[in-house]
Amino acid sequence: MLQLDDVHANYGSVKALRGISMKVERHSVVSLLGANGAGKSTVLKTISGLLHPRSGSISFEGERTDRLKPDRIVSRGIVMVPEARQVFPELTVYENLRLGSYSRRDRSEVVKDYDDVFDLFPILKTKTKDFAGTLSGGQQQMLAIGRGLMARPKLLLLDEPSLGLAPILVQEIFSIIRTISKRGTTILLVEQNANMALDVSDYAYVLETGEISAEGTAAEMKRNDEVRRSYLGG
Amino acid sequence: MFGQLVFSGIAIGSLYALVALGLVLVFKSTNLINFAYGQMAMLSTFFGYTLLEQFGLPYGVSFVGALIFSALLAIAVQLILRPARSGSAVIVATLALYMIFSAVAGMIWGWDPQSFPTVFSGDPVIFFDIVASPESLFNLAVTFALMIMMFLFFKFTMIGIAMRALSQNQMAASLMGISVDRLFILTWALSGILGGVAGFLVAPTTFLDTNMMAVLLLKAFTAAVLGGFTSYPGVVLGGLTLGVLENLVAGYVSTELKDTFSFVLLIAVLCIRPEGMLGKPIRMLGKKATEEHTPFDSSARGLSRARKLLLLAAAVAFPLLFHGNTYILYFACLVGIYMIVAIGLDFLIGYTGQISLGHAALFAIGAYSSALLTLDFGLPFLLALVASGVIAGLAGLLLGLSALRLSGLYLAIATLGLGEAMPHILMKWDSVTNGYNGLKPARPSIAGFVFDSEFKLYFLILAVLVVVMLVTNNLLHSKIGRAFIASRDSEAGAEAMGIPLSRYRILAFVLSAVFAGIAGSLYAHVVGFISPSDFNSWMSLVFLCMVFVGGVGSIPGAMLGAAFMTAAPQFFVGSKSLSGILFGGALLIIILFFPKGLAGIYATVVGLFVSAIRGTSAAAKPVSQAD
Amino acid sequence: MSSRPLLEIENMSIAFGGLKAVDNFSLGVNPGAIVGLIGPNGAGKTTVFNCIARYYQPASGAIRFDGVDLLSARPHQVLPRGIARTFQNMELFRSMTVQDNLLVGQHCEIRSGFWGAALSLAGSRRNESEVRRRAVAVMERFGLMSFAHAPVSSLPYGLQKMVEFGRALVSKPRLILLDEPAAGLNPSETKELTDLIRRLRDEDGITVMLVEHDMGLVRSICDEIYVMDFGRRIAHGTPDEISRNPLVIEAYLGKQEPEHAAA
Repeated sequence: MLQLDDVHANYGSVKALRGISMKVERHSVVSLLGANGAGKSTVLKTISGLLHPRSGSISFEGERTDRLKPDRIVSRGIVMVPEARQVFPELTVYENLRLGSYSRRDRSEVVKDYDDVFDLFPILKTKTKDFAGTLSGGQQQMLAIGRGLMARPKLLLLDEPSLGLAPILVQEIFSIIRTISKRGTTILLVEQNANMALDVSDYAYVLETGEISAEGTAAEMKRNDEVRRSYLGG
Repeated sequence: MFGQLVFSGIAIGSLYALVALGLVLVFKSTNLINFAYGQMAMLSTFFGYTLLEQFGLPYGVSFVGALIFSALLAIAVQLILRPARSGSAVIVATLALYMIFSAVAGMIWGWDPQSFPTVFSGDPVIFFDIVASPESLFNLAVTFALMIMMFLFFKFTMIGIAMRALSQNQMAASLMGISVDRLFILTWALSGILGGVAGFLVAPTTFLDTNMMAVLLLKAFTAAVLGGFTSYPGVVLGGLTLGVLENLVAGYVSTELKDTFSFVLLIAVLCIRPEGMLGKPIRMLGKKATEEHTPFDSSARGLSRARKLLLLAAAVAFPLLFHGNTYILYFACLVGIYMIVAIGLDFLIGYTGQISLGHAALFAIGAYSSALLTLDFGLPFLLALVASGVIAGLAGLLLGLSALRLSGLYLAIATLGLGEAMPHILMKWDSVTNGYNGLKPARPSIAGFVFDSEFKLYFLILAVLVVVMLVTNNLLHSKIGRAFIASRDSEAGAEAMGIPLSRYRILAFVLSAVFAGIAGSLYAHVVGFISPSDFNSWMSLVFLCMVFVGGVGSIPGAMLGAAFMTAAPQFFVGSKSLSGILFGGALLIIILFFPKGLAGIYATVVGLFVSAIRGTSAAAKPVSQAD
Repeated sequence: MSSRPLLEIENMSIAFGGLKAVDNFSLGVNPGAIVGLIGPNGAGKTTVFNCIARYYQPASGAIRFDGVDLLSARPHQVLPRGIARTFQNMELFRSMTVQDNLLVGQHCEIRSGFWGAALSLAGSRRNESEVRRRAVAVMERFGLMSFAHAPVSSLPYGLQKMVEFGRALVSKPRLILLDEPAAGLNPSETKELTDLIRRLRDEDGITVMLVEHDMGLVRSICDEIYVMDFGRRIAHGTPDEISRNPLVIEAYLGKQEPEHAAA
């Protein structure tokens, strides 16, 4: 479904990605692991069009997307939930969700999708008129994911969804990720919490200073000594 | 009486609110203050006037035509400014547009004020003791309808919500599938329409003139600051409040104080509660600005001693060549004086990342101090020169202290307000300043030697300039200069190195003011006549342009900029319009495409020249340009 | 642990908008130790650093350095007291040369005042050449001599890190705070960094406190580790104790597979 081929990207003058090749199959959950600054978020940024690769190609459903602007990429069906949530603090919960459906034209379907989001996150339903800035960190993360779902993505990119959340909330977020995946959305997940990420994933890549240093099925990764030592805290 | 004052206050206040809304609209989404906004509205009003008078179209059609023109013009401006979307260089770019638009209007429609027809000639409506002309009722209806439409638009439409989202988080907005570029264009078009409406409505009361929007724009700034720059309802409230308050002042105190009152109010609000009535503190603008414009390579070693001596020799030889030409020598004197101001201003902008849009006020303080001290107190010139530096320095200290509380945008507006207020103060305080009629300070004399010709004055100014340059050079290569640059590059880093940021910020303001004061003193005695209107905001803006044109953070650049900005208009003396267009255009191109200014262009040219001489065989030592 | 701690934090708390960023946190850093502070993002580690660096004023509690209250100091007075720091995202003076960065690092060592500088008086010039000599010594030590006059922004990332280290050390501090020093370094650079930090302690006698996510680095050089979560201290001990601590595994290191815990 999504394929990256030898993608190089710079962040300012820093070489952030040095030849990334990876694949995301339809209906799978793929996670991207690695240390801080290894380039995980940069991969998501190049896929979502916030950053254009210096060389290499990215294609989605067989078509090149690496030269498109973010808004065009969203309309192709790739939606990113950015790191640190990035909800619009001075818009209400409802307005945030509404913006999620910005690129859609199927009004009647959109109405149904609010209910789906409220099903997943009942807490949001009680707060539709509250400003997003007044929500707690966990609620904001739910809003950010809900906002992403309102676009009806084919591929959902999640950047560090568990960052800075209490363990109990982390559990909840991951169970929601599992639910979203079961409903048929393909997910590419960037996580620091490698243990949890591997539990929900089918396949994983490990990034080290802008290069892929290991890949395999989640089960293989859990057995991999190197990965265990570096990222699973062994 | 009270009711009448309040009513007409609301009528004029709603216009302030409209212009302020247009400014804030653009500011919130692009973090940019458009100083050309008033001129854009002026152009569209002229356009509408042409439709109305020349083509004989009905009022409504002309109105709509003007608004379409205004929206298109705003879009064009947005596209022009795009290469420099944020940073203080944009301020200068909009100032360049200001010049160009004024000149274009002058060229097409002439520089003389024309009267704008009033369409409503019915009897005034009277309720209780308030007399309302049909015109003012129409204005009120239009502005309030617009405001309500804007409210509904932002509250309920997808595009409106998207525009609000864009101003909160651009990155997240683009992840929603929002096309940032397209929305910016829309924002500007909307802002253009608001300005166009304001221009069309205000024209019958102010006359049609290239400068018709100047006062309105400043009032709009005040309204925006008063209400809170970040809140739309706040801005509307601010506009109405300002309109009513200043009308009450005019009605109960004195009509003359009306404009002065709003400047005082502006500065008071900025000092007491910069976030205004409903706003929130604004994120730092200044910091962002320094990241955007690559400051001139402060690592450069500067000119070699031999080259410095060569330049000095050229400066000494110059008047000998033009001995008989007082015209050229007079301008050379002015260039020298402005160089001193520009060096001081560059301390502030280039080395500490603060901005001042009111340096003419400090210059004026120096000029008036020196004139009064020599005329009224009989102080010798040299003492008066030093004293005016000190007095301006004290003013700078006050300004620096208040600047600590204000960052970026607010500092810009506060200094603009000060610059705008200064001529008013000088005018009103006529018991001391002799008001309109100005002062006539004598030619400078030191120990009996009178500098009574341009030729002699030139050397006096050269001597002061050399001293200023030496002091500047020493300071910049000492711990003080390094602390300036360090705190500009990284505030946190500088503080961690033991640099007290606020003390250095104030020092920069004081130094800058001292230089401006000394230059002001020289100006007073060289020109021989000063009056309040000499020191208007226009002069402040020219000072600012000198620094930016020359290359921010480069002392030779600032001097080059001063020479350019003083000399260039002389070449286009023939036509006011042509000079404005060429001058503004040159400024715009330098600001947008040569961020390091004339100094940067010079360095590039020299670099090319040198590498051409050395040839390609010579070991290619890369010129390390931080870019 | 007989000597008095060089840096002491006692029951410190600070909240931002109702959220407790640091909650009753205590810590002691003994002279000559290398102490690590770890925990999940947002646990309050950087806030602790910023309290020591005096950017934040704790709501309650005390910070003492060498027995003297530190909370009365302003941010710019921290370095003169002997505490230097590096930043997570390197707050270098990017437009300045390497040498000038090191000169700014000695800002407080230069005694001359405004007039001395403005008129370039003899005393000021002597002072200046003194600090220049010291800058050169530091550049030689960190292999920066050939870049002395290059603007910092033109150097590669790894060298910029070295400049930041040099800048922090040139004023001879007694304690250095390192905020994620290994972030963005590749494994071999991290290895060099490890050696460097060790040499700071062994050769210069500088006490080190660091926040770091790279557990490999933390484990290999720290004598003691403090673990934070939700602003609280949840563990304190030697690296071995910490990696076995179930609370830490739960909050930070991540849940372990059964076979893994045995490993």
